[in-house]
Amino acid sequence: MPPVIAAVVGVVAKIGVMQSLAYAGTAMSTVGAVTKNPKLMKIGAIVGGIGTLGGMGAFGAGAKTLGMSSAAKTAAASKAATAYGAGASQSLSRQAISGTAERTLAPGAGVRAIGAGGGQLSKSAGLLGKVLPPGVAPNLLVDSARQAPTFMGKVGNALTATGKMIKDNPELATVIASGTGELANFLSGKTDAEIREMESQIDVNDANAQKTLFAISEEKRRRQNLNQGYLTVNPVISLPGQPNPYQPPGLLAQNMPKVTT
Amino acid sequence: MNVQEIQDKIQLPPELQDAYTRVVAAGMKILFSKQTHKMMLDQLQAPGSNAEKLGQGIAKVMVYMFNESNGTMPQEIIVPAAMLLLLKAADFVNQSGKGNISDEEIGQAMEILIDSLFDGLGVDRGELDAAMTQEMPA
Repeated sequence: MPPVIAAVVGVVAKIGVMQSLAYAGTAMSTVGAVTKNPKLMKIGAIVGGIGTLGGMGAFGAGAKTLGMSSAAKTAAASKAATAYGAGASQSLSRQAISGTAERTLAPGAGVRAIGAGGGQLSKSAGLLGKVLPPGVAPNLLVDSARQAPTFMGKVGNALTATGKMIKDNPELATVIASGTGELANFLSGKTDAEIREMESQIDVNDANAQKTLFAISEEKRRRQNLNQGYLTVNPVISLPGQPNPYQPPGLLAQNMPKVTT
Repeated sequence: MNVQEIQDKIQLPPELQDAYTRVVAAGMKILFSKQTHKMMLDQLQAPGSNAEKLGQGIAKVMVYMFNESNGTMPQEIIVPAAMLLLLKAADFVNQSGKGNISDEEIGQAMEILIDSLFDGLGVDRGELDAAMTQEMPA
């Protein structure tokens, strides 16, 4: 089994990774602000700006960093990272991203137009506009600078030494072969989503149970009322010669003519 | 570093949320499962900067999972999931006393993570770099 990292099995589209970056843009800006990492702030401000469609002004700040000096970029990106907390429309952000994917204007053009236009989506491309040729996957298992196995080269080798993993977990081979969803299930048991689904099922079941209990209770009450009414309005048991010793005292019963033998 | 706060800022569309949760769960298992956890801790003690070990490590785990998914993993969740795994790994190391990873190191690790993900997935990041350095005309 060759090193896993060395070759990417799936076809990775640039648009997918860039969109992925956009989804994480706001979080990345925050990490950059907390860790005082200007590069993260810049990435977050530029790419996250697309992702959040300018949380109204924050986006403009992020976009404007494209034309600023380094110091100003850092300051603006920091400001944008803070402002992103306001949140923005996901649907609009998706439109922004997908819209940029189809067009071929220069990078940054779409960002600038949106920032300047008060949030209106332009038909310009932005960061995702260009279709780049596929890159070559380098071997991350080796530190190119030192030509020595990196930490995760070792971990990766160990993790992906499929023989060892499968030797320890023979059933893993089938699971891995069938995809990540199954792999995740196998490895983790119930995911949060599944737990949430189960909880919602419990809620539904609980509601049904409550409904049934309520119906039973209603039926019991109806029968009780019927019985009481029957006993009250029908002196059936007070047939001649058969006084009802159990007849409950009641207004009607008391006013009924007493039948005597 | 408040992991939950960062996690809350990851804004994925609902249709990707389930896949994202599954991938993060699988990544956590790889990082912390009985078979691999000790190995991870041993490697954390190895020479090298924490940022490098964390960033490259999580990137490799993500690329590993992407490969093993045979392309079924949505690409859109790669960066958010990788970010969260990195933060959780760093948080674990700090909380467990196995090491001390500073916020600055987490930032550097995140930077290395992004670079490594682009490289590991074979995606040219030249356009992103260009956008970051581009000067907007007056």
